[in-house]
Amino acid sequence: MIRENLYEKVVEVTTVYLGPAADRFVSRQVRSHLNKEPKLLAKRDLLSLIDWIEAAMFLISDDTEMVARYIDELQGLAGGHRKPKNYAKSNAS
Amino acid sequence: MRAKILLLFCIFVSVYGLLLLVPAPPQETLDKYHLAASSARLLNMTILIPLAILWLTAFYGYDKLNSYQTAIADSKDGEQVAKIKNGIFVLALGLPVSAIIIRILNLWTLSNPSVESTATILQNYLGILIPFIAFAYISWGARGLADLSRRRPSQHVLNSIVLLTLFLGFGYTYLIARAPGTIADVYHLTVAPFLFTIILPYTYMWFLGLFAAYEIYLYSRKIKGIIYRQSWRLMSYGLVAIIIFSILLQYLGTLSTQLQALSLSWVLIFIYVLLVLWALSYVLVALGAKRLMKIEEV
Repeated sequence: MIRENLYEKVVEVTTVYLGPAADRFVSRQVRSHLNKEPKLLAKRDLLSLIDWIEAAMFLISDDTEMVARYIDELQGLAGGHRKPKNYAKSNAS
Repeated sequence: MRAKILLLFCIFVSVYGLLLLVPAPPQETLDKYHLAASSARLLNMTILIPLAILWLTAFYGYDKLNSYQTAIADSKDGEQVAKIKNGIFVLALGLPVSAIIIRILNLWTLSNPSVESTATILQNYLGILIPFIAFAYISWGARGLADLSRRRPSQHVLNSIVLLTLFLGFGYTYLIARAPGTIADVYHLTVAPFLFTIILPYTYMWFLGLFAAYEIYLYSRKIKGIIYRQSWRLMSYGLVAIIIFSILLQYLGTLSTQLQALSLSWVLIFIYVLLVLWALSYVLVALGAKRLMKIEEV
């Protein structure tokens, strides 16, 4: 039940940015990168998931501030805050 | 673009091209524009090329929208986009199909003038049927999207759309009444069937289209998801433009008599500008669908 709530919380945060596509987006990240069913998402998986989500978001949007805000909110679910990596800058260099 | 759609496009262009080039141009047209038969045929090709480009962009827009809808088919927004996609398909397919049927009807009338009334009636009903089905689908999908966003057009906007539709309907009727010839001469229908089977369906169809256009616009502005909304913007511009241009072209069909009074070059310029703008709206849909597809692919 706690694991299902965690997935739903991630989707809830993602909905602010991806709307109806949020559930599809998050479940796809969990299935393809963590190789598990979305409802089995555990807190220990969250940091890894956030990294994958961040990479995907930079492919979707050029708005680094918005992506940073989104990642920060996800980090809040994991119980910590970190400065998000800027994949756009690191790709350029 | 998928091979099947490209093949369909090639078949349509070939068939229409043959229908334009093979039959002899009518003497009346040659006399009116002081053309030789070969020049008239060449001129027909200058219509075929932009038409073919329009058909290709329409199929391209549909193809991209179809790809996006397939990716989200199992979701709530996917179900509604499917209805809009079906409407766009009917519009896209309707372009070459109606052009070919109208060309066949015109050739039939030239070779057998006694069938003019039948051909005219068929042509008019074809001009209503295809966009009506398309707008019904688009309207159905737009209503579904409006339900998802939990936003409905305000009473003020609804009243404005109804008023605009009534204005369009009355304006259309007035322009037809002003055109040379009676309704029976031009449309081969008496007044009551003309009003109830031509004017009324057109007016209702325009209401469906305009209301759907607004609901799509509202969805792209009010649905949750900052990035999702940004991605929907291009798509909504394209869909709204397709609806508006469809209505505009149906409306301008009533001015065909006045257009014939213009010189040939102005008529061609007018047609080209309309075709380019209409094609651009399908390109917008394609670009919007590609942007939305990015969210579903990463």
